[in-house]
Amino acid sequence: MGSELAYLSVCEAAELLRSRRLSPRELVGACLERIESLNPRLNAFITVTAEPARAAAARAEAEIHRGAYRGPLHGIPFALKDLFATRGVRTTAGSKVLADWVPDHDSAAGERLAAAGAILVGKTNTHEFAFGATTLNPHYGPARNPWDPERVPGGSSGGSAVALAAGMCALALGSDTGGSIRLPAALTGTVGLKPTYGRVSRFGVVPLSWSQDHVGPMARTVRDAALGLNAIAGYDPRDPASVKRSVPDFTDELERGVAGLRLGLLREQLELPTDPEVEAAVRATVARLEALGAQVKEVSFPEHAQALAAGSAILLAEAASVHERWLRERAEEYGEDVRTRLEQGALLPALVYVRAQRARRLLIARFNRLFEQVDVVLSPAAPVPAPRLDQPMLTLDGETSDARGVLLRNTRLYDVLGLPALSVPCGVTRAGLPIGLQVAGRAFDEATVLRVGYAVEQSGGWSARRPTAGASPA
Amino acid sequence: MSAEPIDAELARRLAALVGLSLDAGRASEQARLLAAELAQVRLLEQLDLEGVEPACSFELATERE
Repeated sequence: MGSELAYLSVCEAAELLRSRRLSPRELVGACLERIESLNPRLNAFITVTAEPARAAAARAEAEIHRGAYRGPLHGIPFALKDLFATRGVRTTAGSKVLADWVPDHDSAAGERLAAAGAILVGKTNTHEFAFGATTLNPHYGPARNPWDPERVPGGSSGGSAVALAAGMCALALGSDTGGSIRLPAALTGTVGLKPTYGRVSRFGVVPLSWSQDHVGPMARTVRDAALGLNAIAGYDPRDPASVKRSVPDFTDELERGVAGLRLGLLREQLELPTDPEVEAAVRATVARLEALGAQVKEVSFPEHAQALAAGSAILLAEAASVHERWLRERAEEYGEDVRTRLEQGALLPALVYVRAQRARRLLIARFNRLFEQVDVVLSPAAPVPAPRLDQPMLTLDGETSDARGVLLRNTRLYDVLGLPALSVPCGVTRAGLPIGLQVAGRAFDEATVLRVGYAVEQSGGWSARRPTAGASPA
Repeated sequence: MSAEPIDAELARRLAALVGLSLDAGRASEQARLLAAELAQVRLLEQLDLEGVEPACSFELATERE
């Protein structure tokens, strides 16, 4: 019964909670049981907030019983990447540097989820300071992929994705600077949405690259991700990049289907070396969407390589600036990979950073022209399925490259451009590893991105699969 | 961008300018990484940036509206 409850979607659980056929205490208790049983193996959480969660569940139960139901997130257990500040709860950012930091404030997004009645069950594992793609964390141990615990879940929001895939929570938040929401979603068979830059407040989230950091929802279904975005989107004066713009109900258009929508397959990402099973799953999914009435065409963004180069330079330079003081004074406390990349950023000439930001403005304008031809742009979210924990290099088409660069190759583009992008499950390899499709759209048009994602989910059914290898209680 | 070769000593001295101390191994690794990064950003020289001002986080969102 515990695992059945823990795998309820937010929508399913909300209906049961609203009608009092399920109590928040039962639901939160089921998730906490799963965490207790599975976390020693999967390492999804750095900190579990069991007692506060039980107390919040009791309060939610009382509220619902007296008719003060707040909406579909009331009583829903959620997890926060440990990059999000939590008042009174240790927030490590996956680092030794912040190992003992207990913030006196909450992140804006976490605060909004709590205001909607959602219940925090814990803080999830992350690549140190969100600066990496694997969640191989040297301080708190690696997060492990529930589909095969010898493989990484992707990162940097790897713990949030593992927690969802293993039924430890119903909703989670992640941050995405180069793909850190969408990549772990793709590698764990979950759903991850990076909203438009400015749509969700970054207040209270430890920065990595100010001009590329995004906060977004992670879930097991597209509808749940939409509900999560409903709760966290909106203007916040505490975030200088936050946009004053009305927030629609992102579930409104989910069921409109894809008939008549124009879908673009991004040539430059498909031409780069891609695992054959990933490519086959993406093409089969696109064929299904076409059969449902979508118009499919190939589109080209010849400046793709330049966009990745600009994104990398901006990330390195801004991250080095974020960490400047700690890097000088506490360098030995960083993990080797993150320290090396921060030092790399510190040596980059100012001219390079400014050139990258100038290029970025041009690239945004050029990419936006694609939306005269199509409504969304599709590609594999990750070119490969989840690598093994001990696989720092990947070989594709005879070319061996650093795993981080390969894993983030298709996602980074949309952090540079600031456009909304989703990863939704679209298949599985012969070895049983999940594959994700990336759907990107116009600025502030998350509704269409989610609508296409919903059609993928409904036509493929991949989101209903559950991992067995690493997600069965011992 | 200059095509001047970057060696470990140059990396070490650049790091010292911004208050970082690199041992020989780290300096050598940073020389290699810096050269690779500069080679990659050289791709941006193919773009005509005449008259283009840098993007910045405060306006990235609003200019998309």
